[in-house]
Amino acid sequence: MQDLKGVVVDKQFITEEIFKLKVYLSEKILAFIDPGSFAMLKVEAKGVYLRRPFSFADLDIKTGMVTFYVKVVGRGTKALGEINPGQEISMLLPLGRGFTRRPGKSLLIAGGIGVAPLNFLAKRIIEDGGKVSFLYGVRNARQFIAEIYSKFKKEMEVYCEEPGLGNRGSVRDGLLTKEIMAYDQIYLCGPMGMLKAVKPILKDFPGLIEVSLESYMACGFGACLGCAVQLKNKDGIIYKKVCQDGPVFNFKDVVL
Amino acid sequence: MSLMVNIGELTLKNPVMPASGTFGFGLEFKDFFDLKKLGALVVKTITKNPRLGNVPPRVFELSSGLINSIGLANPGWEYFREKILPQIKALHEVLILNIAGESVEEFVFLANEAQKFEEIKALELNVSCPNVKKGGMAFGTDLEALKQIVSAVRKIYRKPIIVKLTPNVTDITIFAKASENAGADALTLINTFTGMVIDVKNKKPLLGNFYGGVSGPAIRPMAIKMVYDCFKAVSIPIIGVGGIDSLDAALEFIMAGATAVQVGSQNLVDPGFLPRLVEQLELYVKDSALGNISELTGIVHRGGEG
Repeated sequence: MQDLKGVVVDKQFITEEIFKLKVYLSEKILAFIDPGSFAMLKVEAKGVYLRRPFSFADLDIKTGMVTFYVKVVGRGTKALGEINPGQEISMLLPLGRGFTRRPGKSLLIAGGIGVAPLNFLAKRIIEDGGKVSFLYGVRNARQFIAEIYSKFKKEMEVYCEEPGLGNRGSVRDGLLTKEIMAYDQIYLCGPMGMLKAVKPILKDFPGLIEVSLESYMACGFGACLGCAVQLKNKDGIIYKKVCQDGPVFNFKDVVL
Repeated sequence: MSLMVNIGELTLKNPVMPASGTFGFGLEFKDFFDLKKLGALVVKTITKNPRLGNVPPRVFELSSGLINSIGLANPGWEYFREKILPQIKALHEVLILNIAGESVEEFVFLANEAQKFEEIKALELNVSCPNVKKGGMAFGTDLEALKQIVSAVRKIYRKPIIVKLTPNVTDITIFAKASENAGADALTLINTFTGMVIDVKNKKPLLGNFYGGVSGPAIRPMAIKMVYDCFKAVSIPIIGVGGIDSLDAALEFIMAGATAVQVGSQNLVDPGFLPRLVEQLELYVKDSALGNISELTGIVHRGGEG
């Protein structure tokens, strides 16, 4: 975990509400970044006090480049969208516990901007020799990251709630068409509504199911306890820190 | 030229320390810097029994700070003693244990326990957390309860006692004086202000606990005034806290009457801030040709300079 300055190499709005941010980082830190881990980015703008957490969406060790996909949802992400190539950005990284990668066939279920960390995970699974099937659900075209789809065309099925893009419907509809027992493990990242909707379908799945969670977060490294999430274990309900114990958790333990 | 200050019988090499609750147990920061650079290490509040803390969401950003309702989540004294204390005692030679209780007896229990450990150099009594239903701020806004807690702890605890007061009272100087009279060696001023934020889209409170504590630069002018007022009212040292995010902000507290300062919210956004503040204070004292930083304590009460 370090507080580093990265240099913004590229920033492009790829839809009306999502931009891609490519940042050049010191080589040494790159080896410690895993799919599911994240960075806290400092946004230098009036009225933005806290850093913002973003999962790594990609990493290129050769060029020293990390990629984030950022959805503009509030004043922090709006201000971050105004950053220009050449500018420095202060980043705490790498933070959190990432996905557990295992061999075999993996089913990846993404909702909206949740596709970002799963993009990185899919890349690593394939590099490891594993196979992926990717379900990617979006509400509308403004949430759809075409460049991720183009990378995983063969493995990916897109579901869109509005007509005109992929299959009509939600990720849940897509999941119902899958023979889930054919997979060795399942990974999810998406909004709470999606997680709640798919939970009953996955309840009898015997293998590993991991989910990357989002939370309001102040520090990102375990000092404030602000990002607590409820999990259940043998003792009942417990709290864990999304930033440090997660953001990746066993899906079966998460109280939704 | 020196940054050395005294808080009761404690001698600190500099007046800079973290505010409890914003620094974990210190372990979270050891990758960022050597904690020995600080004047003291103040750890997160410990209670007798473990506390889960409040229902999420627990934090929300404000334009110049944040609001939180953590609810004193902590693993409890036994776990702290067994698992955490052995890890953190090497981090700093001056470890200040912040404690809270749901009753006078719980404060006394914790003080008694803390006394058994040489590495714990002082207690900070948290009578001011706004986010718990039992104890917490209720003790810090009830003069009689405050006196009882401080007196009871004083009777059995031989090392310095620091009382961390809440700003959520009409006149904080009354509580400051009462703490001093009951045997406190120092005061920490102030804890967070109670506040509330509403999720307009969903038409409900944004924090799971409805209310929270407001911290950060937004509260600094109020905190400075409280330090200023209490400096006149008491003769024990004051540790100033509330929105310190720069050298000047720390100097404001010192000039208003603080002997030392604590940094809270800024640790969360800039984990390397504390050691930089120490360096900046060193340079400032050197450049100002001061013998000791404490020469500035309360200087505005003496009409300042120039």
